[in-house]
Formats: sequence, C-alpha cells, structure tokens
Amino acid sequence: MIKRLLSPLSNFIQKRFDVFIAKRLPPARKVTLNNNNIFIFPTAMGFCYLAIVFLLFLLGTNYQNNVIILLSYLMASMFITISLASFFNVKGVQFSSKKEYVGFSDKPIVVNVSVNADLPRFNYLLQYPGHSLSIFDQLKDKQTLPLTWQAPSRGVFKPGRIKVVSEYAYGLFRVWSWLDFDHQLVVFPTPRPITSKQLAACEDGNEEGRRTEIARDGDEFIELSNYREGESLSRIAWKQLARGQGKYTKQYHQILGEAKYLSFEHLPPVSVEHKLEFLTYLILEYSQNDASFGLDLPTIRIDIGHGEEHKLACLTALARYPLSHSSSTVSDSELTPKKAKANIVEGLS
Amino acid sequence: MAGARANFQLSKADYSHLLLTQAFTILLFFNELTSWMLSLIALSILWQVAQLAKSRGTLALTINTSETNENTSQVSSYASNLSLLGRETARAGVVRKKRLPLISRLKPTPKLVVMLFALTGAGIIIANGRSLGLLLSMVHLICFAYGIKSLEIKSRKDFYQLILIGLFLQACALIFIQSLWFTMLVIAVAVLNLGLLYRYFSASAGWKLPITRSGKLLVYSVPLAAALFVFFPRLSPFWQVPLAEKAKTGLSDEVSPGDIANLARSDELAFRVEFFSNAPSKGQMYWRAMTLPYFDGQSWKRSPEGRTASYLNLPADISRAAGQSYQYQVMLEPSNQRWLYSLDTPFVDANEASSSLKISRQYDYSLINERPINATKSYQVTSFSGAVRGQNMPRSFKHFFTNIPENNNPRLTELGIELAQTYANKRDIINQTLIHFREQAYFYTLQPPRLNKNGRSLDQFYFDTRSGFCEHYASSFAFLMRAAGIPARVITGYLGGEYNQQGNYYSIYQYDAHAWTEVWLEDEGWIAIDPTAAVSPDRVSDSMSDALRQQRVNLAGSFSWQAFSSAAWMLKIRMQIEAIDYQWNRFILSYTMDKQDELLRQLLGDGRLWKAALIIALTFLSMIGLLWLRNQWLSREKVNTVWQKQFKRVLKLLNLQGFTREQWQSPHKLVEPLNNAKMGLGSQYEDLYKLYQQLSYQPMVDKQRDKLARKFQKSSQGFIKDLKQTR
Repeated sequence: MIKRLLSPLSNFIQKRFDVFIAKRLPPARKVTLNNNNIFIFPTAMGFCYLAIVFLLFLLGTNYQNNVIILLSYLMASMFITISLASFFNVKGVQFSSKKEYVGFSDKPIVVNVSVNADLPRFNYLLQYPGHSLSIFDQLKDKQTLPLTWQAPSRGVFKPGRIKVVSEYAYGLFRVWSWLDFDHQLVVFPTPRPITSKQLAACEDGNEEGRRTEIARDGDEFIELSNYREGESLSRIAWKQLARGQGKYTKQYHQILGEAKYLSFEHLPPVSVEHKLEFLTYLILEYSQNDASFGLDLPTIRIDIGHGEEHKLACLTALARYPLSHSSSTVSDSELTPKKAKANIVEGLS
Repeated sequence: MAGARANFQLSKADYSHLLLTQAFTILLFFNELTSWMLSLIALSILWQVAQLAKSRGTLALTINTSETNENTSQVSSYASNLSLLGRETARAGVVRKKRLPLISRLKPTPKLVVMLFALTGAGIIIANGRSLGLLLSMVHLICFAYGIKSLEIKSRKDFYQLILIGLFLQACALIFIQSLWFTMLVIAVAVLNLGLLYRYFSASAGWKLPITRSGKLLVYSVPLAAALFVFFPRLSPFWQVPLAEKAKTGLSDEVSPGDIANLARSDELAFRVEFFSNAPSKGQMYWRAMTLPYFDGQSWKRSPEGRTASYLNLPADISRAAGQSYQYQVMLEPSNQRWLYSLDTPFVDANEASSSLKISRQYDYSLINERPINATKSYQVTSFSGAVRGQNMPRSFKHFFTNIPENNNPRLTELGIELAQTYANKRDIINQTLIHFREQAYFYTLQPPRLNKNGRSLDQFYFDTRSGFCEHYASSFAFLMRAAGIPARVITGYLGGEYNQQGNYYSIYQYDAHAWTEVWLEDEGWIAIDPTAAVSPDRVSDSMSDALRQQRVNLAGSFSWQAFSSAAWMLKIRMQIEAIDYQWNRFILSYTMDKQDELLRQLLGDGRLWKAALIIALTFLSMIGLLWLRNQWLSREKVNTVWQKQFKRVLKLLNLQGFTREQWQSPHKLVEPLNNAKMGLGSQYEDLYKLYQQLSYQPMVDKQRDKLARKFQKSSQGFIKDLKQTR
C-alpha cells in the first residue's frame, strides 16, 4: 500500500536523478572520471568507524588521557585522508567502449569496456544495474574489462548506464560513477536445430527451382571430402581421423547447395519465436558453410549474399523482428518470450 | 547484503595477517589481563593457526565465462564483494574471469569448540570479576570477545567488526601506559590492523603495500591531528570513569627496616624534575614525599592503624620563607599513590590550582593530590631551602612528636634519657649522635643482617649489628631523639637524581628512595637531619652519591637497562632516548586544559576560539590541497618511467649541443648528424635508441623489462658522459 503511494514519488526522484546524471555524464564513447562525475559517500562501515573515533574521544576526555585523544584525532584525520585516497583511486580513469554488441539470447552478452589507468587502481566493480557484477581487483595501464548482460529475450536492448563502484582503501567510502556509452545490444534468437526432415516436410512443392537435393534415405550425410582450413570441427569425420585415414569432413547436402531465401514459409507451423530460432540456426549453418542465402521476413527482405557482414545483418533482422507480432499458429507457452523490460527497443527503429 | 553472507572467505594470507594482528593487540594488554585469560586467548589463536596449517588442501576454482576476452586483471577472491552493489546483486551472479587464486576453504569452527571457548572465557571473567574491578573486567570482556571472534567469521560484517574492535582495543591499551614507546607500538599495531583491511580491498597487493600505504595515510593525517590536538578545545570529563585498580608502586605510608632496601632494587622511573633556574647540588636534593610520625614499636607510620591523621589537614605553619628559592616542574610517573614530591618547603604555584591535579599542602609541608596518580602528571612548585617551619608548635604536638611506646627498645630509650641529662643544648645531643654514627663502625649496606621483630630491633641495630640501610639509621635516630625529648619524625622520599644533559632535567628512580629525619628545635623549628649521611659522609658529595647509586644500580639487576648502559656511548644514547620520552611527557601528556588555555592566550590573544577554528580549518584545507597536488603530480610522474625520463634527458642534452630535430621527426634522425660531428657517438646513440624502442614497444615480462631498463640506464649514462667529454 505504502509502496504504491510512494511509487509516483520514487518515479519522480528517479526521473530527476536520470536528468541529473545525464547532465553530468552525457552518453559518450569515452568517459574520463573526474571531479564532476564521481560520487562519494561513507559506507555503513565508515559510519561505524566514525562512531569508534567518537567513542575514543569520549574515553580520552573522561580519562583525561591525551594520548587517546590524540589517537582519536589521528583516526578522525585519517578518515579524511582515506576519503581522498578512495577518491583518487577512481579519479582520472578512462573508460571507453564501442556502441554496439551482439550475442544470443541464451548466453549472457559480453560487453567489453576498455580502461586506461595511469596509476594502479584497486577493487573495481562494474555492473549494469540488475545484472551480473564483474569484479576487478586491480586495473593497470590499458586493459579490457568484460561485462556481462543477460538478455531477457531476443531483441535490441539499451541496457543503460554501467555502474562503477570502488570501496578501495578501507571500505569506509563507496566511490561510484555511471558510465553511459549508450550501449545497444542486439540479441539474436537462440539457434534451434532443425533437421532436414522437418525442413523438407514443410518445404513447399511449388517453390522455385532453387531447391537442392534432398537426402533420399533420411540421412543427410552425403559424402566425405578433404578437410579445408576453417571448416567446422563438428563436421570432421572423427572416426576416419582416428583410424588414421586423414582429415575429412562430412558433407551434408540437404540444406546447403544453391542460394535460397530463408523464410517463415519453409518452417513447420510453430510460434513466430520458434521459427525465428530455426532461422537463426539456419543462418548460422549457411554461414558456416560459406553458402549464399537471403532472408525473407514479413517485415524485411535481405538479398542473397554471404560473409560475416551479411550474417550479422540477417541475424540483426531476426533480433529486430517485432515481438508483438505473435500471430503464431501454435501457441507454445514454453517459447513465449519472457516479459520484456521497458528499455527494450522493439521492432525496427 | 544477504546474498554474500554464505560465501564470505578470507584468503589464507589474510587469515594469517588477522591472527598476527590479534596476537599483537592482545599482547598490548599483557600486564592487564589475568594469566588465565591470556592463556585462553593464546589457545584460541593457536587453535586457529593449527586449523590454518591443516587447510593445505586448497581448492582452485576455474571458471571461464568468456573466451573472447584477454582480460589480464585478477579477479577478487572474495565472493563477498558481491554485496557491494546492494540488493539487486543478490539476484544476479558474479562473473569471474580467469583463474581464481587459491582459496583456502577453512572449515567452519565446530560449534562445540566455540561454545567451549566462550564458556571458559565467561567463567574466567566472572570468577575474577570482583578482584579485577569494573575497568579491567571490561577490558577482559572486550579482549576476550576480540580473541575468539575470529573463530566465527561468517560474513563481511564479522570481519569489519573484528577490525573495528581491534582499533578500539589498541587505543584502549593507552589507558594503562602512555609512554612514547608504547604509543608508537600501539600505532604500529593499529597500522597492521588497518593494513589488513586495506589488503582485503586490494587482494593482489601482497602484504607489503597495504602496510606501507596505511602507514603513509597515517603520516598524511598527522598535520590535521596535530592541529586538532593543539587548538581544539580540551573538554573536562563528562562523567566519572572507573579507574584501574593497579598495584601501588614506590614509597608506602609506613616504613620498617628493610622496606626501602627492597624499593632500592627497582630501576623504575619515579619522577622527573626540571628546574627553571638554578638547581641545588645533587646532595641537597632531598625530595620529600611524606612524614611518618607514628611509631608502633616496629615501624614508622604516616597515620595510626586504620585511621587517618586529621592533624595533617591543619594549615602549615611557616614563619619565614627564606633562603635560596628553587622553581621547578615535577613530572610524575603513575604510582597509584597520592603523594607528590617536593624539596624542603614547597609552595604550589598559583596556576596549578585548576589543573588536573588537586594539590594541597599538608601540615607536615608535604604535598598530596586528591586522587591517586594513575597517569603521567606534572605540577610546578617553588621551594625555599631556608624557610623556618613550625616555630610555634603547640605543646600537644611536642608531646605527640616525642611519643614512644613503653618497653620498646629499652637500651635506646635509656641512651636517650642519658643523653638528655648529659647535654643541656639539644643541638649537642644531635651532633653527639651523628658523631657516634660517623666514628663507630657503622656500615651502610643494602643487605643488612636480619633483625628480630620483638620490639627491640632498633636496639639490635644500634648496638649490635651496626649495619643497615637508610631506614635503619633514620628510624633509630628518630627514636633516640624522641627518647631524649626532642620532637622528631621520619621522612621518606628520594635523594638525588640523574641529570640528563640533553633534556636538562633530573630523573629520579625508585632506587633513589631514601629515608631521613626531621627534628624540631625551639628557635629553628623543623630541621632536616640525614643520619645516613653521617655514616658515609661522602654521600652528600656528588661523586659519592654516584658511586652509591652505581652500587644500587648493580643491585637492581645486572640485566637492567641502566646496568647495560653503563658504557659512555650507551649512556649517551640512553640519555637521548629518555630526553625524547621526557619531551613527550612534557608536551603531550601534560597538555591539560589549563596549559592549552594558557598557550592559546599567548599565541592567539583575543578571539582565540575562532582563531583556533580558523587554524584547524586552514590545516584541513591545506592537507587536502597538498594531497590533491601530490595525486596530480603522481599521475603525471607515473606516465614517464625512469628510462623514459632518462631518454628525454639525453635528447635535451643533444638539443643543447645543437643536435635538433623537428617535433614530428623521430629521434632516429639524430644519428646521422651525430655521426658526422662526433666519431663513434652516432652508433652509440643508435644502440641507445634501439634499446629505447625495445623498451617502449616490445612486449615482455616485467622481470625482463626491468633488466633491459637497467641496461638502458647504464648505457645512457655512459652516453651522456661521453657526450660531455667530447665537447
């Protein structure tokens, strides 16, 4: 009840805070932490320390014991030097990061933040609020810090600011700041393997003659060919290798072959998300075999092409496919995406 | 913070550091804790050490989350750092990269063991509670809690508590001892404690850096602390606090033969005196502590059994303050007794009235404080050597001071009566007795033969054994005088002192304890007579007193500091160290409210309160400013390593000699002109430049880099030398 009453207030505060932060830490590729954007406040431990100092002062005064009084002054004074040390531990560190990172929805997305520290820095914790924490004991010179961000579903996300925290020195102070790289994370659907049989079953007979040979006896395996550099390890014929007959790769033919457009029509009648996952798998498979392919979605059509860039473009298109268009034939509760967060950028923007 | 509770772990090194800190902190209370408590805490620490040693089987966690990154940072070994970002973290996991350092997973202490320790400790405190008193019981309790807390560190909070209790305890140790050396020890232990906390937040830093960093931070904090100490108003106690009931040291309020001889075996410092102008000769420095007028047949006492002597509260009768006056400051070591020391006839300086000591002068001209001296204190006194005291003594007092028990030491009593009949002049009686001591075979010894305790001990000494220590002479002399009808009393105190040239003060040790007498004569009042001086007349002379002192020093223990430092150079060092300690006492320990008030008045004059506040604020700001500048400088300095600076120097030197290049040109451009101008230097420069480039761009291990950097420095130094020579 109280929570509900307070929520407009907290929303308001959050909004004001966002405006305040945005002013001090505008989105940028490179952020240098300095006087303007570092926040510092004593921790609970810091307040306890102060309480002990005060207690010692009382003790010294009551016993008229100058040494204890002196020591309490020394500790109080040290509180200030420690605050400076904590502040200097963060001041002047440069963070930079590129804008866009990609990944699949089943795995955490790794976002690399480069750091440039002129002096050794200690006890750094970086985190997207609500996501996993990355702890770095020491930062030295130039290095890359990998952060992870677990996507709730496929899509394009703006994870927001990264919180940088350090309690270095004695844990008496928490020094923190926000890094706003305006990150955009493109989360591809999780690849879902589809067998050629399934694919064949829904293959439309009237499809143009781009169809490739279909495995006749149910087994997609066609032949062994000499291994070429760069081919997937999963395709190596290990049996032959073990027998010492040389390195071969198994060739599967049913989904390879001539260039074709991948589209929903070729897929079994499952939910859209399910279909997107199949498509992800197919795109990966095609790319792995360096085959040419195109993508034909209701919202976008990507011409036939090949290569890494093309693959990324296709996967991005899948990620950007509107979530709300769940006009699926079969409702598959297991596959419905988890409730997306407010900061998801939906559809094609 | 809830999420972190379960997996808090201290690394093995941190744990050892913690145990070390604990051990040192407890050792600071070595004199205060009962041996039971000490052994219990020692047992707890040893138990943990054993557990730590047993946990060899460390376990390595290797979690690789991301293959793509070449992250070189070490990941904190503390999962507990999790809690840092607050509650949301509890839901999210931690990403650990690379190989985690070995974590020694200590098994949690069995509940039974903890219970056993806790119950034993509680038992010890309860059993000793009565004899310990409130303060020491509290100290026991906190030390005990601190000692066994480390058995159960389950979360970061527990760890923090340990650190904070440790800091508090370390400061509390200063309640009992405040000497400079002990303070330094306490600060060292506090730095060790803070180092542990530092280490927790920079796990990769090893053990050296945390301690040096903590020490440095402490040093940076000194200016503000000093400003606060000098200028922040000292407050009076808010409430009464329990005092440590500690053993009394020094003189006691009764003297029977043998007491002072025991005291003479102690080489503890009793007090120190600084004279403001001239000082009397050492032989004249009779530091009075108290008078002992009651004789019970065995020993001389300050007050009768079980009662307080009310006559002492009468105003002192001083007819004339004449003779040489000495003004001096006495700095007392804590004795847990109330008496203060002064020469002859003391006048307490007026400004002492409001100091932390409440001094009153008693009827017998001795000074006494209201409460026992439990910390180093100082006071100022002016003494007059020739004052006439107690000239108008009432008849009742004359009777009181000639009172001797009946049937006690009959031979001495008889001798006294005989003397009184022989000599009409009382002066003659005194002189005759002193002549007797001098001319007969009386010996001065610290190990006198045993005397019977049958009320005839003084007889035995005076007529038979004839060898004794100062209290033998003083007791029998006073007794004899009383028997002869002369009012007399025994005085205890100290004689002489050791002059410290560096500090310009005298140190009086327990082995300087002395007993002498005062007799009352009709026209002169009370006069001091030292019968011991009659035995060894040389004792009044400085050289003899030193020789006697040497004898006592030797007795006080051949391994004592004093005996050890008899060599001249050692003596000098010892004097220097003691002088430093004295200054510490003078400026830090004796900086009371009044002293502060006086100093601020002299220094700042009117409006001293806001001026003091201003000074504190300025110190505060300048401290921050200086540290800020230092940080700026450091971050600029760190950009250039030594070899980089060295190369810059080479380029600058070359530039001075006319070998210039444009800003955009590589330093390699200089090789040709150098070759043309100076034979051989060109190639030397080229080699140097190659090394520089190697250092700058070639990836290598730290060790290798250091080696190369040394090589670079050597060759660049050679180059600079050659360059200067060929000029």
